[in-house]
Amino acid sequence: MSNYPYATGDLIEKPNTYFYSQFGGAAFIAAWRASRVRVGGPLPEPVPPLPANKSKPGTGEGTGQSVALLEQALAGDGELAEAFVKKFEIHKRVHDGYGPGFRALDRRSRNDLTLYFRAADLFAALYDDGHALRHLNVYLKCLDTICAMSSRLTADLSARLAWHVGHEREAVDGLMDKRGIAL
Amino acid sequence: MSILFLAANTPRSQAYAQAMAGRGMKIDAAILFDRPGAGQPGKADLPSPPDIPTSVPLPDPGITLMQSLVTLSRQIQQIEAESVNDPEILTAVRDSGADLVIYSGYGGQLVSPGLLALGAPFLHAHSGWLPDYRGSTTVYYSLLAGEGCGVSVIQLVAAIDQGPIVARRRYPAPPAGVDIDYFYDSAIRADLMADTVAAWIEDGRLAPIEDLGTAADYYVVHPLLKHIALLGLDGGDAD
Repeated sequence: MSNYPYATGDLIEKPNTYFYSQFGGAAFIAAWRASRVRVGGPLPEPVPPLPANKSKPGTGEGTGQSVALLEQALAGDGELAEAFVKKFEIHKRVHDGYGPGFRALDRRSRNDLTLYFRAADLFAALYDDGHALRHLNVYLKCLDTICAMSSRLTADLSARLAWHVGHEREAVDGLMDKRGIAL
Repeated sequence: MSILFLAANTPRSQAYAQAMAGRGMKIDAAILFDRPGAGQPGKADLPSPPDIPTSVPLPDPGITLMQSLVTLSRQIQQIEAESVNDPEILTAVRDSGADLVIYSGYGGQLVSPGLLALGAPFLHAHSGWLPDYRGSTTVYYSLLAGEGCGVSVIQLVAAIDQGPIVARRRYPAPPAGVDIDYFYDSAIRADLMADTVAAWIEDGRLAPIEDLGTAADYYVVHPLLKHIALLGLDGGDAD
């Protein structure tokens, strides 16, 4: 397998399902790495995620805006963090806001890339915290979506993607080491 | 005591039917549902069988589902339906008067409350050790955690993987090179399902394992993690 097919196209509009993915052997891992290297090549110096900021102006708790909810989750609200994990796993999207039952306030408002980056920050932090595979799983999917959009990013977001691409690679390499896989 | 096998046209159903036929079991009725041309998840022709010994016999792609059904039951109904919740299936299950339903459906379809309310327990074999591995493609997460494989037979309720567990068994990880999705996963589910149904025929009852708590849900495994799981199997081709 020479191409990694899961990080191309507009994945917000047409998300991957990841159902019954074909086994491509070690070549698949090489293709994934090459795909991420292609994305990362032109990016600027990496900029790590900012710490959680629960007091962003105009985004107080209770508004249901994802910009605030993600900060709450990053600040340690585990229930909210898992709600974002579940939502992203099912829909592969981050909506601008969520109401009761964590339903999207507006299903069409789902194209704010800064929210996808904050979700990636959250998923990375969750995986770093407990090394739960389910958190690496959602992190990989979130980065597929972002990498597919890499040519549309601002300089600021590009620098943040550079950090994530490196961080993701470290997480995957660590897991492969643990499983005794050397490629 | 009457048993119904409610089967989608999938390699997994093929494995179930072969496992039951291989044990010399008989069932009262079978409903095979499919809509030709529809692409439901899990529907595929079995690829060539791997020529590798495994702890559980793998399904034989050369034996069709219908061939096995004919040896299992004299009453086989074919329904053209894409979903298990098609009204024609509801009617057929009700009319069967089954006391126990062995369910093998398409991926991603939830059995409707209407079907579950008919009264007969629906048995589903989940490829994961419950309650630790709840959700989708948990066989890969279990392998990644170095825990081998597990199967839990549950009685379906409306909530996913939350019905009473009536049987559980651990299985070794498959040898490298064995397709998991269509062969090994199907084989281990079929093995425990067939044993569970055989025990029900013997005892006439299901014996739920006591509530063992809850755990987090897993979602469809990312292809990269799936590859790491498979390449990490003993003898995996990682070069």
